[in-house]
Amino acid sequence: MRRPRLRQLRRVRAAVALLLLAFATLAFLDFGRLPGWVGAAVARLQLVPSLLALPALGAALAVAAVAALTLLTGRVYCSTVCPLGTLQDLVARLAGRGKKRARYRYRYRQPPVTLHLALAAAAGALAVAGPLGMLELLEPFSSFGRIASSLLRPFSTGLWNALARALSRAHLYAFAPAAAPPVAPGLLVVTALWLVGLVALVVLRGRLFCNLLCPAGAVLNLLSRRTALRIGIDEAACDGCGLCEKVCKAGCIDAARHAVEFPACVGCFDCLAVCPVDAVRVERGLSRRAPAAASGEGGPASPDPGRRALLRAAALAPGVFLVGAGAPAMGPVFGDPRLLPAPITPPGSLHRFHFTSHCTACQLCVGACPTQVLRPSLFAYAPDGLLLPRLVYEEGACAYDCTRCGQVCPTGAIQALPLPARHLAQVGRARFVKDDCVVVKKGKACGACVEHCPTKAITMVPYGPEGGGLRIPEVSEELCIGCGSCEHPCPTRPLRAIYVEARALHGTAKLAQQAPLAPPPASADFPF
Amino acid sequence: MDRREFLGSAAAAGACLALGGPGKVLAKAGAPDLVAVKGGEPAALFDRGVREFGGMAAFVKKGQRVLVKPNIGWNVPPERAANTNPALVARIVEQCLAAGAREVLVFDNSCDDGPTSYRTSGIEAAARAAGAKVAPANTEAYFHPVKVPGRSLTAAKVHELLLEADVFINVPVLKHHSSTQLTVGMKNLMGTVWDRRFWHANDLHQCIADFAAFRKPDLVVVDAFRVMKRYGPRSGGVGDLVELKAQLLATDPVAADAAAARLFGTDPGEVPYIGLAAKAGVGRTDLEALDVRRIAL
Repeated sequence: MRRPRLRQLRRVRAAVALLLLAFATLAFLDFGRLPGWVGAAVARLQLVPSLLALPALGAALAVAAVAALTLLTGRVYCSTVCPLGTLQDLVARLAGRGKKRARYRYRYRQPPVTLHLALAAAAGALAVAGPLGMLELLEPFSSFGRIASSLLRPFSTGLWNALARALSRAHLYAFAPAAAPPVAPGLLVVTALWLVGLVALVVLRGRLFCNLLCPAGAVLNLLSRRTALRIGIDEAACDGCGLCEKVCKAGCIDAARHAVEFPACVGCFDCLAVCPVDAVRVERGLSRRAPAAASGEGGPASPDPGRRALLRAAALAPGVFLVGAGAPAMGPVFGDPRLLPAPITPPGSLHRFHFTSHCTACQLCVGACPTQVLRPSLFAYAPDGLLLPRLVYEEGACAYDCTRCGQVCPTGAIQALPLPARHLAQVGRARFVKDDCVVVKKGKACGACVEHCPTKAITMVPYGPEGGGLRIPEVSEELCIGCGSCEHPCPTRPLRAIYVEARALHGTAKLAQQAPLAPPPASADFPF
Repeated sequence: MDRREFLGSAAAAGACLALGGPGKVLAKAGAPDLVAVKGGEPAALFDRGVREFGGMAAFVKKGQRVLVKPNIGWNVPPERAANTNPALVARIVEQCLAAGAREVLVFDNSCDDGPTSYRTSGIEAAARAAGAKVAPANTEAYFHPVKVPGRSLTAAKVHELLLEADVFINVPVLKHHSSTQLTVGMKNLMGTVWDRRFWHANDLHQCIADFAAFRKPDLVVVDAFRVMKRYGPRSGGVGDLVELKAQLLATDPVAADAAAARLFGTDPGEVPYIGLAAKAGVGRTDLEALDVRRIAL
């Protein structure tokens, strides 16, 4: 009996996967121009980020949906929702191009379930202890994000800008160019090496990443031990050709035994499509115990982000002293706090430990930032996290009326603040080094800092001889939110005379209060 | 014959022509140095003010390419008056096109994120609706190196549209400015260059005066409808504004700034770049000696 509709499942899966991949790529190639909901929607479906964002309602619904889907059909998530899964499929396709038999190159291998669960548990445990960003390195959505953001975005932005420039020569200004994306050499190297490793895994062993290294895969593996529906082989109908085993990139079909180790199946449906006699079929799963269910017991449950953060924070308590003192603590090593500044975390990230215990370094916020101040780092937060972004005011300031990073952040590392709260979120405080200021050094007016300050935290006070007309900035710590609007335009080099010092625990600034202005004179005359 | 006498006789000649000649000729012969208008909406103020010059045709000839340079420095909405009033920009664009301009271009190198500021300021939408092309100025690719005949500023990278323009209309908004006391027309030109940090690091007032001589605008229109009295150029809210409902139009960029300073309540002598520009011969600050028309709507 032929079941043409089941054979079409593979095509449906591929179409959905490509659509979601396109959206995810688009979100990561953004340079602060896409509506915030695009990135947010793409990321919300992702398992690990949503687990980290619990108990937020959207994240809880997403986790519930993914869990329900997996309990119903197994890990179809891995072949549709996960952009890294789809990327691996594309890599496999490219690698097999031109080779006639490439499609049939896989064979059954006992899935390394125990090792997989142990690695995922280790990633969770290390994330709790916090010395190294293992979760950051293994989490698939974030890994995809880093590939798109750091390897692809420079090219897509370059292309966009070249097009904008070419059109502008004909005075066609349909769209504005973007500032060149910040280059982080560390992230670039790590991501490139990571991608090389992934490609090698895909070429040699198909979806081994998903069944050995991926923490989301481990969670879904556990969930798909007893599913409502599963893939099975009808022994009576099977003619023993073995094609199903040869197309199975997860390596979970043992054709000789007519067995499918379903918890390792990534739900690509290639086997359904390839079977010439329709012996591979969708079965009711709950009635039948999965063959692999006997092994690999005792894996980690999904991490509880609240407890995780708590434990992590406790483990890092000694670090609080270091960072709490911030740059001044490390600065003297280098002679000036500006030389090795503590990282500034974006508004809405509450405090350094909230940020490092939630961020998986997906770089979605880096692309969403319209002023390019959110920049990836390699070790800026070492030892507590790898590749996490921080605010750098070299090429811009953190825009006063912008909350885009919080809107797109899928893990809750950056909370979406309402604008009034963002206006008071004190991520750092401006420090003024008077001796380095243009006004002191050159005896000439400047005031670039006060010009840009959105909170009235800087006032200009008289400086130098009376009647000289010179004025110099004075900073109010209470009003300053650490947005870098002063540091960015400050013209002194090599060190800026005004700079922002991070606050490990974000504060709440005061709102400037001013007496009302006198109304203008009612006279109809002009004063000239 | 000194300038005052010349202007006097020119005005007399204009008056003579006024008796018999057509209005246009009258205006041309007796073109004022500065027109101050108050008591109306920004667009109406401009319509009335430019009439004193003989209409937009006095500045824009058929087929010319016009640059209208507003202040779009900040990502704030029109009611905050940190940027030029969008209705004023739109009306100037319409008048230029009506006078036969081939194209009217608008840009500013914003201090905040450019595309966002274009949108929030309302200027992009208003100018486009009026028929202008709104060009980006947020990447260095649009700026080209030029020599500047200045004391502190001898070179700058200038937006290509300023270099290409046949007619240049500078449309600043009058505001308090925490570092230079005041920003009007000459300071607004900082939005046509790429590297402003150099100016700040090398005698800001002198650099502003230096650049004022690089490409003098054909017309300066100072938006003084709502005026930011303190915490400029960005300010924190509408509480820093007073509504003057005024506008200044001038062909002399120094006179425009000097008159704007008076309107603001500041002696032009206290704003160093105004004096420096006058000293360099860019324009005049002795408003009493100029043909100034004062109009209340």
